[in-house]
Amino acid sequence: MNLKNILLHSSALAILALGMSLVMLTNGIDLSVGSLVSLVSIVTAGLLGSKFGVLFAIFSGILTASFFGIFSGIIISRIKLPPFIVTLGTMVITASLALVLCGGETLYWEKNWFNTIALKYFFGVPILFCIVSIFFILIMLLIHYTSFGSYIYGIGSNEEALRLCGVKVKLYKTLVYLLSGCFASVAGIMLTSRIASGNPIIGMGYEFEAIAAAAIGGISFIGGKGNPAFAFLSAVTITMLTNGLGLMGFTTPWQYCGIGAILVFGMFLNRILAKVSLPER
Amino acid sequence: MRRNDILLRFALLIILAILIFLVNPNFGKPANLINILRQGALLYILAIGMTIVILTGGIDLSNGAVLALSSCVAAIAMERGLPIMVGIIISLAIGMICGFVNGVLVTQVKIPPFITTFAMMYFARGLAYIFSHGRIIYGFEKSFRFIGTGNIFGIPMPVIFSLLLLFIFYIVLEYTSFGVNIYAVGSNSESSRLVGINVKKVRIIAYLLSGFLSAFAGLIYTARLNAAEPVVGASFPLDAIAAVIIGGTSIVGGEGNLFGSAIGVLICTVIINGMNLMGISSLWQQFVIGSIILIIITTQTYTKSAKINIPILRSRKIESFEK
Repeated sequence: MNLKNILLHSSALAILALGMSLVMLTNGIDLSVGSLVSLVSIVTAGLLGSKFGVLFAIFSGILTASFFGIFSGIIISRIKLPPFIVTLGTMVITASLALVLCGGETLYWEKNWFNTIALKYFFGVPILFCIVSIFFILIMLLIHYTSFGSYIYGIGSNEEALRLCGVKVKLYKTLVYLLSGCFASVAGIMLTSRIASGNPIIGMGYEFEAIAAAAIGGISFIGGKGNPAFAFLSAVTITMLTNGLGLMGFTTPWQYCGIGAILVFGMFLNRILAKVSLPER
Repeated sequence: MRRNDILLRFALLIILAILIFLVNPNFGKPANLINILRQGALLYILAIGMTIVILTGGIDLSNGAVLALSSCVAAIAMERGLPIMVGIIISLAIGMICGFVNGVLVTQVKIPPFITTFAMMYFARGLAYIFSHGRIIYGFEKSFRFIGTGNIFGIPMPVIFSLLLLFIFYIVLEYTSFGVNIYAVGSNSESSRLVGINVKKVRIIAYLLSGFLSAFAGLIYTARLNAAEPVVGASFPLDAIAAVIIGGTSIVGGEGNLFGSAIGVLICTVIINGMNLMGISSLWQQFVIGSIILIIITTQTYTKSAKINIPILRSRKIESFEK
């Protein structure tokens, strides 16, 4: 039962880590995902309360996040500004928009099938985690079997060389941020369904957790190195360890200390493993 | 950082101030201006540390949590009846220890600064809760509160402290070899190492200074509120980073200066103050600050070719370390 719970809880972080790892592979970073989760939660919940129907609400949520993903992507690739600064800008803008749209309050709607979807299980696996797994498989196929996948690694390793080879680097860079925005919207919709309300600060801090999960999963901060699969796994592992700390009877303050220690230890382990398997030179 | 980058920011600050003044003349009252400085002082002290760390090519997400931890410990020490000086020293020492641990993890264990300081954020926040048992510690002696609430010739103490720190760290960055090393390490750490700069030492000291300044800001914060609590400062790291970026410091390091950060902090504070005066909902504040970040950075890339030369705004950039 607890294992199901862990999978349910880790699904949002796992999909965010997946999107973040793609961005980080292109030598970028996306700080806006956490706020996008909040914004999508508000947009979806707000539209669920209206008469347009559930699918329209979900679609609008995805569209909102995609818009901001493309927005950051275009600024980063066309004007060539540092991703950190651009996504920091979109992060605070979207965080503020989420608060403005709902007036700082939690949104509720009349119960429908959207509320229960998060609590359903498919052969004992939470539906949400199944959705995340589908995305995971798609991304794995994308990375390993399409040219877009190799371009992602190429942009991270040597963008200039790839551009000189005639690859539309700007387009692919924008696409990566679009994907990250889409994944943020999926996470936002899943969280909205799970807590059955729209919360303007629900995504706070998710961006850093996703970055941490990706980094512990071995994605390099300078791009071009790492496998999104490990980012995905480390997101689940981090949730599991945090959950474990709670089960072992640690109070919240000690859990905070524990998470800090886990992060440092994870990175340390990661470095040792990298040395063992891939000796430098 | 180029001269016209600072001029651009200064012009933006003036334009913003004039606009707000035209909408609401109360903005120009001396009391309000001093209030802006007082509000900005705390953020500026954090921004100094953040600027130094970012100049070396790192980042410090832990300063809010370190602020909470050090102020809680100092408050507990004073509550138990220890002398004020001891409380202050303990608090600054804790800030420096946290910074030192950050620095060692970044340089020796080679964990990326982003993850190290993020982990430290959790760790320090957890310790702050553990030490304070989650309660608010309040009621300090008058002499301690003076550093947060006192005035000298009508100027609030936090402002005096931040000006003093600006002066000290300006001298350090511009006129000492340590300052030159910071810029060098941020521009190109490998060639800095090859010319014999102790890169690790420079980085560790940068994080240590950031921790020290966080603790210092924590003391002022505690003295001003007359209370210390473990939840403060969750938004401080991003506020400080936003101010530093608006101030024109390059996020990859090696470029930028403290005057820029001062202007960045003032821009943020003036916007928040002005929006409050105009009666705009506080929910919009972040939206405006985010837009300012995007607009100013975009403008900066297009004004690079413009030539405006004012010697007093000279800032150092080590050309020989450029790739």
